[in-house]
Amino acid sequence: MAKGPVQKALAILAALIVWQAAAELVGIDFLLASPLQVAARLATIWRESGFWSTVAFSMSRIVGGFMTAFILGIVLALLAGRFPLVETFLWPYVVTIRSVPVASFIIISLIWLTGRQLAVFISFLMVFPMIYANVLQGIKSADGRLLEMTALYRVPWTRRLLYVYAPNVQPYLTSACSVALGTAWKAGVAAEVIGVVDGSIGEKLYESKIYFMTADLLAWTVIIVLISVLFEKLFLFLMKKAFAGMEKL
Amino acid sequence: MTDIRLEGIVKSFDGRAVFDGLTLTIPAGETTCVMGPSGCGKTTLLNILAGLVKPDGGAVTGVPERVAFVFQEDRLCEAFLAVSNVRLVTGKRVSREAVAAALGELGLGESLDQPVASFSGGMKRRVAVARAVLYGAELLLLDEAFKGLDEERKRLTMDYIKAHTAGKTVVCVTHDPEEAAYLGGRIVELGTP
Repeated sequence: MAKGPVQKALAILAALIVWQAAAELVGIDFLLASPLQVAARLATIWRESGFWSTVAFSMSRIVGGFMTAFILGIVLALLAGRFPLVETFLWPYVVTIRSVPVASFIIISLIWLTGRQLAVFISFLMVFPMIYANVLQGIKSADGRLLEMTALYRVPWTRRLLYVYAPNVQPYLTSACSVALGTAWKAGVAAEVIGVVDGSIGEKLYESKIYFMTADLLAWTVIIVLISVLFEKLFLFLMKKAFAGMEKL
Repeated sequence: MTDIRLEGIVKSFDGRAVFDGLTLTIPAGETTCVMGPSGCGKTTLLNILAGLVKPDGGAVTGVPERVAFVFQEDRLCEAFLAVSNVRLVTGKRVSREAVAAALGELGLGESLDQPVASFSGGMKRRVAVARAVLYGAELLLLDEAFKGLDEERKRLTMDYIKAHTAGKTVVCVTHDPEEAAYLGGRIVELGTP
């Protein structure tokens, strides 16, 4: 694994050279656009009318689905940690969501929901089990001796949550969010492509495929990855700050 | 406040008897030091008084509603400051300034802004003591509370406990006769059942 920034930059450069060579070898733009063509497209795509509204459309829905799953996952995991019956009753739902292929959910959702709601629901479905399971795991692995101490001193549950459970849950939640944020974008955009959702990034990808605009397809893909990574970094930074701020409560 | 009475206490773990009819009176408002060889049930006695362990037989009466305990392990929230660890149990009943003053009295005044995780074993021990004392319970249980402290800090901590628990019932488990003598009060020797 590349570790240092110089090694990583060299690895990326090498990959781009391989991609450029492959594109030249294929020699047909619509089969494989070169990195230079994609870079050229990226330089102009953001200036086109509707670019920002398309990004805002998909982002609001995917982030909306993620945030709903994030909040509900934490709340239900807390409840399940406190009342084992909640965990038992949630178990079939969590297992089903985890094992059913995302494509099946997308097709079913197309029957139930409008295109505009699709990415919200699919992102939610993909993220919820990850957040729920990880937070619950963090709660269950809380130090029993600390819990015994807080019980003896009759510490209210809210303070127990902050002092005993939260520090324990933090690494589990951080790692879950790190994976879930990427998954939310992948599943959300996939849902938009399959549902050909009007005004979404998924629709742009679909159009690129229909009209063999491979440079556009790859340019939009780069945009999705960039937004996803930037949002992940921002979200994890804010979450770290929030956990650090708990001391002051 | 009434005396604490343990009558005919029976307790065994995995078939091994720790108490086989222990009867003991702990006078209210006084200090009682419990001594005895390892495995004789000193910690079990404190756990029974705290309600953390249920005896298999016998009766315990006179235990007040609120009990403070310095466990053998520090049982602190490592990521949080010493002041926060104390206020976890006291809530807003004790001000931040009062907690800081108590920690200062225990020689921790310079370390108030550091998380407990960065503390030495002896410092953590003193935070656990401050937490138990400031909780303000009528019964304070000390399970080898001075273990790991050097002589100077041991005296400092014992003086702090003596100064702030006047009129309260203190039960202290220790191996050290000097500690028991310094704390004063009655000494109870537990033998093997």
